[in-house]
Amino acid sequence: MSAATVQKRGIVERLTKSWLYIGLAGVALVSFVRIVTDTDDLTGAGTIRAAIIATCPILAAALGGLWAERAGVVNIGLEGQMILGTWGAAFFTYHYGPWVGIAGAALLGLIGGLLHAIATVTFGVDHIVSGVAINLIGAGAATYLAEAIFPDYEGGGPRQLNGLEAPAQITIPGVSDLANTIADKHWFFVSDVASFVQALTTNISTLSLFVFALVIVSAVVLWRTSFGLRLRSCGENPQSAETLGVNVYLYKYVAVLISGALAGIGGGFLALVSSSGFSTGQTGGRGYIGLAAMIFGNWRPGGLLAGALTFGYTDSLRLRDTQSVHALLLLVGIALLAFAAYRAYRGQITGAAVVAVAGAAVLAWFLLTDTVPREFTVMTPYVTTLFVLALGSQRLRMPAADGRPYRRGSAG
Amino acid sequence: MPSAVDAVQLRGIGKRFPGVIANHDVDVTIRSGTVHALIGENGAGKSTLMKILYGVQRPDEGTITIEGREVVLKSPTEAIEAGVGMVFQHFMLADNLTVLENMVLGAEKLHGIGDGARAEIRRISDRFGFDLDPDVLVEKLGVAARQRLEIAKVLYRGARIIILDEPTAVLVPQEVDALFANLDELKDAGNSVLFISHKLDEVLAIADDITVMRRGTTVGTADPATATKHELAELMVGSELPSPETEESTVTDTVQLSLADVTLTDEFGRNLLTDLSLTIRRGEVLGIAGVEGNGQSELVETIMGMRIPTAGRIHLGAEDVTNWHTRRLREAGIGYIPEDRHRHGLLLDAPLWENRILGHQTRPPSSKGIWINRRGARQDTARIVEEYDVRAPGIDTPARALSGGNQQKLIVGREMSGDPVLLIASHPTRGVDVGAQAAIWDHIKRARRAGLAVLLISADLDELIGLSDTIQVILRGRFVGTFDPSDVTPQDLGSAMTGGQAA
Amino acid sequence: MTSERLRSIGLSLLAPAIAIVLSILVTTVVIAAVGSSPGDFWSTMFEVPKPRLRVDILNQTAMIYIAAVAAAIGFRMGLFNIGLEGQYTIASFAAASFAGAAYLSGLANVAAAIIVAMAVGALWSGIAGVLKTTRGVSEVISTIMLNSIAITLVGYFLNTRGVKEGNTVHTKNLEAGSTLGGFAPFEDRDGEIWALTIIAVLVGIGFWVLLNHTRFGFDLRASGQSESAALASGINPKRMILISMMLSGAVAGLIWLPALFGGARNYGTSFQAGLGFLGIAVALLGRNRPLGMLFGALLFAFLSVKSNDLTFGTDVSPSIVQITQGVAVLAVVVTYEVVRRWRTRLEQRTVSRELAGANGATS
Repeated sequence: MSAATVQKRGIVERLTKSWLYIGLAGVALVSFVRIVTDTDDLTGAGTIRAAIIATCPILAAALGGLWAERAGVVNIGLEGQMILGTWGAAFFTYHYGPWVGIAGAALLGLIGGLLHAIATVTFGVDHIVSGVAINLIGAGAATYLAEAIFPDYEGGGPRQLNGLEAPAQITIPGVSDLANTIADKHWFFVSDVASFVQALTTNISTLSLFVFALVIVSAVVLWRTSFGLRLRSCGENPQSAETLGVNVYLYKYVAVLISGALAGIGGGFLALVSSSGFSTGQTGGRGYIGLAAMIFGNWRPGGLLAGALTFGYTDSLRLRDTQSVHALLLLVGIALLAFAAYRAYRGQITGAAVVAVAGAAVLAWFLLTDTVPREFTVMTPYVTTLFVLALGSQRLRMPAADGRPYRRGSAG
Repeated sequence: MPSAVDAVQLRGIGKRFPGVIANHDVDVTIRSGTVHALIGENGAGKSTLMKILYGVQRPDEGTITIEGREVVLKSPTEAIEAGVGMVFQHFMLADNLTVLENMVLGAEKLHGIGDGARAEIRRISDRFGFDLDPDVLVEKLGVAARQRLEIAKVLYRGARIIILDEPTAVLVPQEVDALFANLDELKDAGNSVLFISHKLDEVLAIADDITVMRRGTTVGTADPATATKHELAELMVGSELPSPETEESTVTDTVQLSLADVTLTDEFGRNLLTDLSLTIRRGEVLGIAGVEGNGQSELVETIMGMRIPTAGRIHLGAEDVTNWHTRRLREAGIGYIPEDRHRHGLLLDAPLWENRILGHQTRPPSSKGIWINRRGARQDTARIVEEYDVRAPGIDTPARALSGGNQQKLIVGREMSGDPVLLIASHPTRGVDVGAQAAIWDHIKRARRAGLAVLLISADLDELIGLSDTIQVILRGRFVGTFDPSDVTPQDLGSAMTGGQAA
Repeated sequence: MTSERLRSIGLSLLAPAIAIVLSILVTTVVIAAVGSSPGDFWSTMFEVPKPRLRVDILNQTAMIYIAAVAAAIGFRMGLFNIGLEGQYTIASFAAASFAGAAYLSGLANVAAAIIVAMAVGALWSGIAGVLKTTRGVSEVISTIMLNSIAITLVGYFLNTRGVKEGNTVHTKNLEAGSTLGGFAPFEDRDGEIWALTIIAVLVGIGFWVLLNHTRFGFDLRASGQSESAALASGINPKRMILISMMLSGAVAGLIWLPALFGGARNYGTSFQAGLGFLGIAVALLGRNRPLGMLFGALLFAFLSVKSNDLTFGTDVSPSIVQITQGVAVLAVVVTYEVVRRWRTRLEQRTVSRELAGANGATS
């Protein structure tokens, strides 16, 4: 019995280690590009702070997607639930302060999730169809409720509500200063890590920490508890789960409700932390980017964290100077060529060639131009996701019964 | 070791679905510590009965008594609590989860989801020789291992009464032997087994008691020590066995279909079909016998152009059709009765007349040029309904509303229209009632007399022997023997199908 | 037969009827909940629209209808083309740029621009089609991504190539000869029904003929109903996916053209976004049937246009109709599913009653 256990731990260790190595290599590469192109902004604490703020809403939405899809329900309605969340955060924060505001955002998102669950689980409506309808309802409801209620509020108007109180920020005194000092030296690798630490320990919103904590909570609950096992079994083979006495409808409902609440929290983050108030249409498709981050992360918490960070980072760069974005081209070019080399090493010659050509093209673009139009950074998450889907579709593994309608009593 | 109290008593069980009576007046008694076989044709109501005993469906009437206590089973959970476990014919496993996760799902309270569970799985695995590793993903397991996992799952939950739904359908003979050895172990440990099957040889080999079902009710019991296969079969169909009578040969000299050394490999480079060669002449029925899953489906899909062979040639008449796709082959006159009519033969929600068009989109009377000829299709559908005795209220009825036999008669009628030169019939009478079965046999015989070449694939050996002019036996994607139906017995075929001997 | 026919029609009208009642209820409750008067709202909405609004409603109906047909082409095939939004954005921009450049003049320019719009729409949706057929990528995800890419890309080209005018950017204006205008049914100040709304009529008829009377339409519907049965019947599923995806995109390319050649004259601030998603909603509302979608489009156009009256005379904001529209779609898909389940049971019962004794037990 111990042999297999040891072997299993071995796998876990190896995986964690390889993720660590990839992470370290990534930081080294970024650091290298920063020095070569002389763009300190690339890993400046300011950039990373902005990146974290841009990451959190995407991350919350991606987690929402994870919960629903692990239970077999595709939730395209994340966008609508997120929009409801922005309104909920604004309304409840105005009256009761930021943490009740976050609870309100979760509540509004949860209502969106409830609609989705009723339609898809109870009535067996196509998941995509229901999601599209919920996006329409979410956008309409938030717009209407804002127009009907916010003009009477202080700082409010038909399309916005400003001056909302944000959740507290915290700074860890010693660490923050030390990291700041090291970051300012602009050393290879060390300073980049330092500025990351600095961003995490200086004036970081407690809500950001909360969202990051949700990743760990989700991972533990979904993979380390019997509740999570049952929930995942509904996404893999609900008929089988049913024959083993799992109440599939209940677990699907719980999953979709949590999914909606998480998307709502993402919306709340947008209203309270990303900006200091509600405005109509402020989600800007981040629910969809969350979905993309989840797919990028292969329906796993660690992966979707990586996806959300990548997309959040590019999202934040577009607000900064165009020079860093241009430097990023070098980064992407090198990364693509490295990936091509890896593929060639694994014997996937065609795939390697495609990636190599793309990498070369990006490098050429870097060498031949001086700036990158802002629009191209905006497109990054979408293009990346298309690439990941096109090149890695065999390696992606979504839950086996994801998106399939299920009816009780269909077992056997 | 049977004890005084019966493991299960079912009395007067009845169950109706909209439009059908699935069970009525069902009585079954399973003695404790025995293997009890429940036999009957497809559609006799066995599956419904099992689902009732396992709490998936609730009976409209009747009582269930388990180990002397009358119970009402509202869900599988309650059945499990009462000591009943079930292994479904289509395995109820999540591929993407590990053996351990599949095992503990729904029973997490027993031994947790960690090392406690792991130890218990190893204990069960060692006790019954299941050879299961808790931390392997289920997708890596073969069919036999999955079945052992299913049985282990049931035992893990402490079941004392184990239902096995057609457990041997997917197994090769050696695996069947291993399964039977496992069942003996289970019996020795004091469990009772309800074994559902329509394979009489196996039933006689393993069962202690036999109950026969027909048309939704139990029609008798038999003692395996004295009963013969023939008696059981007659009980199952309720009359003299309708056995297709071989007629005078109508085989001509014109070769209609020939395969020369056809090989088909899957994406991993494994051979699904290896060097298959066959010829079918006009007026000839070539039967293919084999245990399911030995390459029959792949052979049909290759001939139908849904798969393109990796090597070898296929000729239809004089034409080389190796690389033709399905539509072109159908236009050249191949009729196709698919194995799974719901998945491959019908648009269930479309009316009958649209189903008449399916597969004949490019040919009259269904179409004219790029246009669909609605009137032609409707008229021809009315003809098929009339000639093939399809019992339906009208041609606007959706196909879903028809019974299996009538759906199949519609398909046969459709595929026989437009003067086909070759008919591929895959399990043409599976899951249809006796009346429809006889009618379908008649249609195949008539077509053969008219010069049609037929490739017949069937699991029903009597059907194969009765209809075929030649029988080829397929095993693991190869032909392993050719038989003349006039002097072959089902036993001979059975033995060739399992690799016992090649003739 | 005829009574059965009638009942069948009645049943298919049942779902939309319930959905409309439900959305009226929800709308009323929401309005009352925020303290406004539902009475004012409904009386304003149900007033006969003024001539100018009537013209607007017809123009909007046409564009929404084209979008609905584009969505329905995918739906009937079992494909979910969420990418209409991106397809018509990029196609409208391309057509406006092409027509604005005036390589041709007069009607030839218009005809060529229509072809450009269809081609660009088809190519853009074709990306999703190719990804699905060659790499197995779900069209839902890829078209969502392509929407955002298209919209950003158009923004980029507009900023770099467009004509700047004050704070706004747009493509070059059409020459007078290529502006078609339309037909004014009332007084001139009430506006015109755009000439190219005729596209909606043609697209609707074309869709109906294609679906019900051609082999291609049969193959399309068969593939949508059962991929496995379609394959066994000789349909090449990959080809069907690619063709129907591109056809859907081509029709999507036409969505905004009536406005472009009718009044807008360039692609810029006058571009009306969101028609793609409305089209999907209307396709769902009308169950992908040509006539059903027509009613759906008319209803949605009426709600959107008529809600402008709300700003005068009531304190209800016009965006309330977005809720009504969303609820109507969700309610219709739910009720349709319920009716379908009920109907299947009914049909099975009818058949077994008529054939009493003919079929035995089944498992």
